[in-house]
Amino acid sequence: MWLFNERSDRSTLVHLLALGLISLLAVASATHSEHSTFWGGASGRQFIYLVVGVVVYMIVQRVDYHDWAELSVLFYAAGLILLALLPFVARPISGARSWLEIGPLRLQPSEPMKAVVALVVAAVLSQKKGTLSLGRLMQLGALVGVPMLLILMQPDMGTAITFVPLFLATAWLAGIRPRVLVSLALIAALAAPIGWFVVLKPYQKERILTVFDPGRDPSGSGYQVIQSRIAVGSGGVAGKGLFRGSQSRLDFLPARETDFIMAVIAEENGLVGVLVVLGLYLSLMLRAIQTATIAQDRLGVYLAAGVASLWTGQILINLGMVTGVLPTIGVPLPIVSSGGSAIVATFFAFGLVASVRRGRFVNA
Amino acid sequence: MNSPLRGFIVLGLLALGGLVVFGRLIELKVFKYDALARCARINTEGRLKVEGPRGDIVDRHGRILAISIPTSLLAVHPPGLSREILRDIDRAAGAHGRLTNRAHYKTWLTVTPHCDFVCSQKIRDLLRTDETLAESVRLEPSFERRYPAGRLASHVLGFINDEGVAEGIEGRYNELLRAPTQDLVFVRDAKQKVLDARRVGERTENARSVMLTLDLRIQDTLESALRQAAIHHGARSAQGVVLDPTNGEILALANWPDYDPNHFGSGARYHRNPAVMSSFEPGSVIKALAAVAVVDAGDVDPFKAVYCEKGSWKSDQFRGSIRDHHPYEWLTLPEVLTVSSNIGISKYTSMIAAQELHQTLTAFGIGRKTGVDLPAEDRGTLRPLSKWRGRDRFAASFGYVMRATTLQLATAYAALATGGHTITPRVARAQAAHGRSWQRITAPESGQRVTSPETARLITRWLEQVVQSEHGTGRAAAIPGFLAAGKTGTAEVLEHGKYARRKNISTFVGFAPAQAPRVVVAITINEATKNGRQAGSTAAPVFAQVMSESLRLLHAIPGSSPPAMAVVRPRRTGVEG
Repeated sequence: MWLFNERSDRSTLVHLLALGLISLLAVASATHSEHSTFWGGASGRQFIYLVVGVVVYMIVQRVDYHDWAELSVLFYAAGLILLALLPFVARPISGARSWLEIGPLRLQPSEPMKAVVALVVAAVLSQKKGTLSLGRLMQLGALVGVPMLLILMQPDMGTAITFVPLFLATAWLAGIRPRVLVSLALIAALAAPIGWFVVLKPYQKERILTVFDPGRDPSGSGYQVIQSRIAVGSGGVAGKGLFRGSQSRLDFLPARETDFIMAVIAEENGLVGVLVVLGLYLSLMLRAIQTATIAQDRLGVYLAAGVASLWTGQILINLGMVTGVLPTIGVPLPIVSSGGSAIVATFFAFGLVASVRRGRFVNA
Repeated sequence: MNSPLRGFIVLGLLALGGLVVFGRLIELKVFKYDALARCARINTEGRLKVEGPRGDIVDRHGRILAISIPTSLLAVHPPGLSREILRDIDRAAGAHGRLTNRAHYKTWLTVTPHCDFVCSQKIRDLLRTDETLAESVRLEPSFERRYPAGRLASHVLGFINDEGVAEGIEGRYNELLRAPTQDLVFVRDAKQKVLDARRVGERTENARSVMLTLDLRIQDTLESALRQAAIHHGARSAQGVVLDPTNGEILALANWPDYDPNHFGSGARYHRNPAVMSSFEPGSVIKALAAVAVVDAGDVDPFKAVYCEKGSWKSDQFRGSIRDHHPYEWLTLPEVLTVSSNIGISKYTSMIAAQELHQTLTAFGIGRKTGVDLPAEDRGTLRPLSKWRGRDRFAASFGYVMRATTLQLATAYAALATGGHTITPRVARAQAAHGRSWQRITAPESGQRVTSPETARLITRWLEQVVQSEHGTGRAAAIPGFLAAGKTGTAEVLEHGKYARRKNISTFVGFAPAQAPRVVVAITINEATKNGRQAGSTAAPVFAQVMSESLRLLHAIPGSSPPAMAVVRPRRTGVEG
């Protein structure tokens, strides 16, 4: 098969498929009811997304990542236009205008934008060697900042925040001077009060406060945190058994098939299930990082490292949210959470990494 | 800074993030597991205690005194119901707005634990109009306590309220009577919709029925006699005890005013059982016990008369004076009892050691609990010998410097009636599991000998004179066909440290037939205000009425007293029924 041959990254695909399988079971359990069937509900859709994701992965990894880098500006521009259009064309769904609806299809442009930004950042950073000048830092900041701002305006704070690890990691690896980083941190610290009093909406402040004290509003913003903690904790080490989690089965846990899918796994499959998922993620990320270390050029390094940092950041934020150490900001767990855009975007991103890995065999 | 180092720092930071999350997972899943698992259970499980029937209480002949009748528990979950439906349910259950006021509650509410036939029929009609209502309205089998005899024996029976707080026998034998319970667990989802209702856990042991020693007919006699007398004399309250001296079984125990345990809420101030819980200075009924002390001391001749000072005795042994109602000169001990002379009994007891009097009083149970199986018994008081000062040893001989309950007086006289044995009064006779035969609850304890049969016989003879003699204070206690023995007592009520002359507690305690006693009756009338205030005209007639009716109901044959002295009758062993 010319699309997937001996030079393709089999291991990454196996990891992604294993996570996809876990996702199918968890989503099926989280959305199961007397009236739903496996294929008719969210789990059936999830299966289709996974199939689409695998196809996307195959194609992306087969194409040279340099070609993808060439196209990145095009993707980036298209992404920005879609994001800019959203406020005018999107119907608000649970308060955010994040989804483009084309017939039965629902696309969340901010998800593929993650991979696109990682790609374009890698493309830009790979052009020059040496320490990162202030001008290029600002260029980098603008590349990441503009889509981030557009996403923030939807408003979708969670997705916007996942760009921060990408920015920091790539800027750092590109050789940003430590004192510049410290200055940035200082500016961020000074800006924090402004952010608290001007930018953040009251419900967002509540969510941050409930991290420290979920009991302050147990039926409101604290509800999600409390129910998630109960689900995670009551699963114990062994779990209550697949399809047996009372928290998720009896509707106590909101957003359980999407952002809080890990709470379902933790409740039904216990610490054992959680460790299996975390192990898969760890191994997947280590492979991406390894790819970065063996990449044949700077584009490859930045691309692999950017994807690894963005997705690792996303996983950590999601787990922090589910276990109640971070505010509830709506970040899905890659592959495992139900949601087509995010799944396809993840397969796309790891396709890029696989392409980098494949590229080292090319004698160019 | 070179690139590999920068790479390791990024890795290190990500690893740190990973460690924080991992640590948190361990904390929640291992260290907080118990608490969070309980939270999950509370989330999904609603528990409702479902009770079976409580044990019956019956009198000695098996007449029902307390029974649990089937009814329904009505529970409602307001979130699934409209305001109109809630109002309809409230009205059907007669909840007077208790439900509509709690329409905002998000938990299961017990509207009423006793939804009767009419109520549950209305609820069923309502449920028929809309099938989805069944998820939010539940009728569960339940039981309601009823006391078919109404006020009869209310103070002995007590009652049990919905919180399970019980008085009287209901409280004392709650362990036996307790209804079997089982948890009904509702599995609910987050919208409080009931997905499943099932009974879990072992059903606790079935309740046992309790048979009392009471005889409902004697109880009824006692209660109506007390009520009539109390009203006739304008008394504040009245108490009475009827017991069988041969085994200590209480045949009747009553107080006026009483209450209806079916509606215990409205009679809250009469819930106390003063016959057992309230002690008072008994007055002259104690003279019989003082006479026992004098006779048992052995060196005093009871037939050698003492001078009674023509009604008022002043002595350098005490301050003030001891007075009699009527002036007497020379009286023997039997005559002292007959006319109830305070001076006479004082002079006789002054001839024995104070310690002997104290010992006798203690032996007959003054200042000690009788051990009756009713809750919150008052032990009464008897001032310790070391604290007897001046007049106290004289006052003790005619029933002051001590307090006793009506039941204690009955028990003390029962010891005379048995020929010198103490008895422990009992109210509960036997218990039985459903459909099984009765088993005795406790074997009657063998009493303590407190005086010789000879002394008991002697004192009984003298107490017969109280009722028989034309000078006796207890003439009104005489009953046709039987010889009764007993003693009056009229004590002034201590109010604000002074004895109020116009406030009396009058008592008559006695037994019959005198030669072979079958019944001891003690009657107390508190603060009679008209138609006579002395025991001879208030308590004694009630004694006569209750005693003659009791003997009739017990099929005692008039005039059948054996010529010989009463000996302790052989105890009944088996329990019929």
